[in-house]
Amino acid sequence: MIRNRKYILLQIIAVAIISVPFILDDKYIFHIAVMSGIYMILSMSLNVQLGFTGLFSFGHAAFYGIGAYASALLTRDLGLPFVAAFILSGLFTAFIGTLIALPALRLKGIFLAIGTMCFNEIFCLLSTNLESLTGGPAGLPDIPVPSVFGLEITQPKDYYILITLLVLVTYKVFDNLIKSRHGRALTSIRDDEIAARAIGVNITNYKIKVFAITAFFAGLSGSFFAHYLSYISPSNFALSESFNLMAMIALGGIGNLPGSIVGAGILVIIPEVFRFLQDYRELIYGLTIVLIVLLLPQGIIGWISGLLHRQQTSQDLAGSPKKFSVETILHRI
Amino acid sequence: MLTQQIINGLTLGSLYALLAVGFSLICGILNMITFSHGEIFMIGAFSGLYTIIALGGNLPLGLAAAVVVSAAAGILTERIAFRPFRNESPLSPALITIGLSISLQAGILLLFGADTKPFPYNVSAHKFILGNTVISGIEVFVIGISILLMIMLHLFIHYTRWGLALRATSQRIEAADIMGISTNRIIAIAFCTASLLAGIDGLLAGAYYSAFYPRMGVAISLKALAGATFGGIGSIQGAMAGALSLGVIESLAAGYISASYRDVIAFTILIFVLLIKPSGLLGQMREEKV
Amino acid sequence: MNTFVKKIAGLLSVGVLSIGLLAGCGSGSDKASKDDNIIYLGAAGPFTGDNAEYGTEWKKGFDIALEEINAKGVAGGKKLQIIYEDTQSDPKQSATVAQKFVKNDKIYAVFCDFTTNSTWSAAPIYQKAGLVQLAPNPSHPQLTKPGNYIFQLCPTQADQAKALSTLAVDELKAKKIAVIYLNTDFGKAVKDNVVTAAKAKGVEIAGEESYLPTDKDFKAQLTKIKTGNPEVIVLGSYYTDGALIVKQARDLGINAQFIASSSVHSPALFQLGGSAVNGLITMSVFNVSNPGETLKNFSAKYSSKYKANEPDTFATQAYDAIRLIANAINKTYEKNKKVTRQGIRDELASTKDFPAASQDSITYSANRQLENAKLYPIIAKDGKFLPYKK
Repeated sequence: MIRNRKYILLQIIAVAIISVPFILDDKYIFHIAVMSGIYMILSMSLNVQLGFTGLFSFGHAAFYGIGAYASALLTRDLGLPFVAAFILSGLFTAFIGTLIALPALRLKGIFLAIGTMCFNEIFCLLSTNLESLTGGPAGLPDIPVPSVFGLEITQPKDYYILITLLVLVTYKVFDNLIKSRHGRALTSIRDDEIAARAIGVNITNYKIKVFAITAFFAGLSGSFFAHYLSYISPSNFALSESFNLMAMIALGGIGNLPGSIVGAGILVIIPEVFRFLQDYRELIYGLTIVLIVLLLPQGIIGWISGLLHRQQTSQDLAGSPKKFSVETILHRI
Repeated sequence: MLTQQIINGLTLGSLYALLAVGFSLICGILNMITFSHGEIFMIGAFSGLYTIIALGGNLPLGLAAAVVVSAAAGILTERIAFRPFRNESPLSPALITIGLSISLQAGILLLFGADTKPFPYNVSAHKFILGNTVISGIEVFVIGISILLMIMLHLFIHYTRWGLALRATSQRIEAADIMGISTNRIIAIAFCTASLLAGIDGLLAGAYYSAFYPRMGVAISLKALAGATFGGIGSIQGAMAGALSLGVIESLAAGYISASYRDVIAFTILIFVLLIKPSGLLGQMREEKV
Repeated sequence: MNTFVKKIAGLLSVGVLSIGLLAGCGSGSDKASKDDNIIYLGAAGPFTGDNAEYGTEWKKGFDIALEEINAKGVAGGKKLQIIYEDTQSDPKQSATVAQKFVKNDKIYAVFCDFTTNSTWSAAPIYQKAGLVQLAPNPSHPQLTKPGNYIFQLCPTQADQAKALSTLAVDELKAKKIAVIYLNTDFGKAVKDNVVTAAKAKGVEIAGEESYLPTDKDFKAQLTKIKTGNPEVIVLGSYYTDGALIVKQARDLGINAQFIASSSVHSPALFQLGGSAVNGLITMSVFNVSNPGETLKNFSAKYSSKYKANEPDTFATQAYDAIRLIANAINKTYEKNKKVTRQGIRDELASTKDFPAASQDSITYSANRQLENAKLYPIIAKDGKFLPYKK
C-alpha cells in the first residue's frame, strides 16, 4: 500500500520534472534549477559519507573544487572534449579522495572534522597561490561550453535536462549502494565501528572506497559547474560552501538520500526567495538553519514521513528515529 | 629578524590562545564542536567598544560589558545549541552554531554597519627598542593579559571546587552526574568561562588592531580552533601552548618561507600532528571502549 | 526538547516571520510604484558580506546621482530607479543575480560588480543577453575581455602601475622598492603591474609580500620587508587594510615612504590609521587639486548629505556610473525615440569627453576602458588628502 503510494508520488514528480522545460521558459528559474541540481549531487555524496558511513567530513567543497579545476584545465588548456574531461575529472577527484582517505582514517569525530576543514582551507589557498596552474585569485575564465556528442549546450534549459539526468543517475547509484550488502556494512560502521569490525567488516577498505566514490560524484558536479558558469575562482570552493552542504543534508535528513535532494533544493531556493528581504536575508537564513535543526531534527523528509506514519512511530518510539540520524555515530570518540 | 618574528608570533598567538582555551573547554567536555565562538568574540568586542564610546572612555566598564555580554551569549548558546543534544550526534550543535554565527554576523552588520570601526583611543604606548627588534608596549600588554588570564583559568580549574567538578565532568559526564555533580550547571559554567575569555579577547584584539567589524571573529576562530587541536583539545595548557606555537609558526613561515603559503604550512603541520597524535601534542588519548 | 528551547524556538520563529513580513511589506510598496514612466537599472554588488562597506558607498553615490537625474528626468521625462540585488561579491551569487536581471526586460543596464571574480562570472550571461554591464570598481587590466557589453569605469592597474612606478622612481628617486598586496585578483594585479613597471625602470624589488583578505596582522610580512630596507613600499590594498599596514609598519620602526593605489583614497583611512598615515601618497582617480564642476558639485552634496568630509573613490565611481548610463539613455532616446539595451550599449561605447566626477572627462576606448585615464597623486596629511607636489 505504502509502496504503491510512493510509486505514484514518484511518477508525478518525474512527470513534473520532465514537463517543466516544455511549459516554462524562464532562464532565471532554470539557472536556479541547475544550481540546485549541482548541490543535490554534492549533498547526496556528502550524505553517503556522513549520514551513512559516519565520516565527519567538513571539507566536501574541496572535492567539488578539485573536479571543477581539473575539468576546466583539461578542456581549456589540453583541449579535451567535454565528455572526456567530465569523466576524467571525476576519476581524478576520486583519486585525490583516496589519497585523503588514507590519513583521514586515523581521525575520528570532531578531529576528522577539523582535519577535513584544514584540507578545504589548504585547497583554497593552493588554488589562490598556484597561479600558473589555477589562474590565481582571478580564477579561470573562458572555460569552453560543453558539447555532448557534437551537440553544443548553451541554453540553461539544456543544462537543466542534463543535470536532471545526472541527479537521477547519482541517486540511483547511491541508492543501490546503500541498499546493497555494502550499504549495510557502511551503516554498521556508522553505528558502531568496533562491533562492525568484530563481525568482519573491513573498515579501512570500506572507508577508502566511500571517500573515493563520494569524491567521484563531487568531482562530476564540480566539472558540471565549471562548464556551466564557464568561469571559476577559488572563492567558489571556500569552507563556507562545505558548511552550506552540511546545512543541506541536515535539512533533508542525515542518512536520508531523497532528503538530500529536497534539502539542497530548498537551500538553493531559500536565499533566492528571501531576496526581497534584502538586508535581512543573511539574518533570516542563519535563523532558519537554527530553527530547522531545533524543530525538525530528522530533517524535512523524516518529519513528513513521521507525520504520515505517526501511529507506527508511536508504537516503536525507541527504534525508528535512530534509522534517520547519526545519533549513535560519535558516542565514543 | 628572528626575535622580531617570534615577538610578532607570540602576540598573535596570545590572541589565538584566549579563544583556543575556550574551544578546548567546550570541545573537551562535550566532545562537540562550536562554530559560533568567533561571533561571541565579535559581540564581546562590539559591546565593549560601544560601552567605552558611550561612557566617554571608561575602559574598565567597557571590559565589564564585554565580559557580561559574551558570557550571556555563551550561556544562551549552550542552552539552545548544546543542551538539547547532550548525548546525541555533535552534528546538530555544529549546524546550529553555524546558523547562529551567520545570523549574529548579519545582526551586527544591520545594527552597526559594515564599515570597520577604529578603536577611538590611541593605544600605542612606550616602545622598547633592542637593536633591530621593536617591542611596543601594547604587545607586552596583550601578551601579559593573555598569560594572566591563563594563569587565572589554570587556578580556577585546578584549585577550586567548581574546577574539580569541571574536570570530573570532562572525564565522563554520566559518572560525574552519578557522583552528584550538577553537570548542567558545570557545562554552563564552562561555556560561560570560555565565552567571557572570548569576549575579553575580542575587545583586546579590536583595540590592538584598531579594527572592529562584523566578521572579525571568523578567521581568528578558525586559527584558534586549529591551535587548540594542535596542542590538544581538552587540555588547557595544551590549547594555550598550541595557540602560541601556531602564532609563532605562522610568523616564521611568513617571514622565512612565504606569506602566501603561511596558512598552507600551518594547516599542513596541524594535519601531520593530528595524524601522528590525534589528541594533539599535549592532549591525552582516550581509550576507545565498547 | 525542553521547554526553554521550545520557547526560544518559538520566539525565533515569530521573529523570523515578522521580519519577513515587515521586509515583505516594505519591498511590496516599492513594487507598487511600478509604471511605464520608470527606467529600471540593476545594481548587483556587495550589500552584505565581507565587502559590504564598499556596497554602502555605492548606494550613497547612486542616491545623489538619482536625485539629480530624476529632477530633470531622462528620455523625455522618465525616472530612473535602481533595483538592488545583493551578491556579497560572491561569483556564484553574481551569476544568479545576472540571470534574474537579464530576464527582467524592464532593466536596461546593470552595475556589476565589486570584484573582478564576480564581474567575470556574470559577464557571459550579460553578454549573451545583450545587457550593459558597467563595473564601477574593478581595475583588472583584462576586465573587459569577456565581451562587448562589459564596461570598466576604474583606471586599470596597468595605468595605476605606470603612475605609481613613475612616482616612486622619478619623483621619489627610489632605488629599492617593496610591494605588499592583498592576495586577490585586485591586489595581485597591482603587484604584477608595479613590479613589471619598476623593473623596466631598473629598480630593485626588495620584497613582494601578500596577505589574505581576512588578515589583520601584517607584522610578519612587514618585518620581512624591513630587512630588505626599501625606500618606498607600494600598497596593493583597500583603505581598511592599508591603514592598518601603515600603522603596524610605523610601530615596527619602518620609515619608508608608502605609496598606494587609488583604492585607499577614502576618509576612512584617517579614522583607521590616525596620524600614522600622514605622508602616504596615493593616486586619486579624481582631480583634487583642480576639481571640475561635476566633482565640486558631487563633493558638496555628499558632504552635506552624509556629514562626511569628502566622498571616497567608491561613492564617486558609483555616482559617475549612473550619470554615464543616464547620458547614454538620453542620447539613444534622442536618436531613436526609444530606449533599448542595445541602444544604451552603443551610446555608452561612444561616450566621448563626458564631464565626470571620478575623472575630469570620460572617453571610452575601443576596449570599453577609459581612454587616457588620469591619475592624480595626492598626499595624506592631518586628516585630509592634499594634492601632492614635489
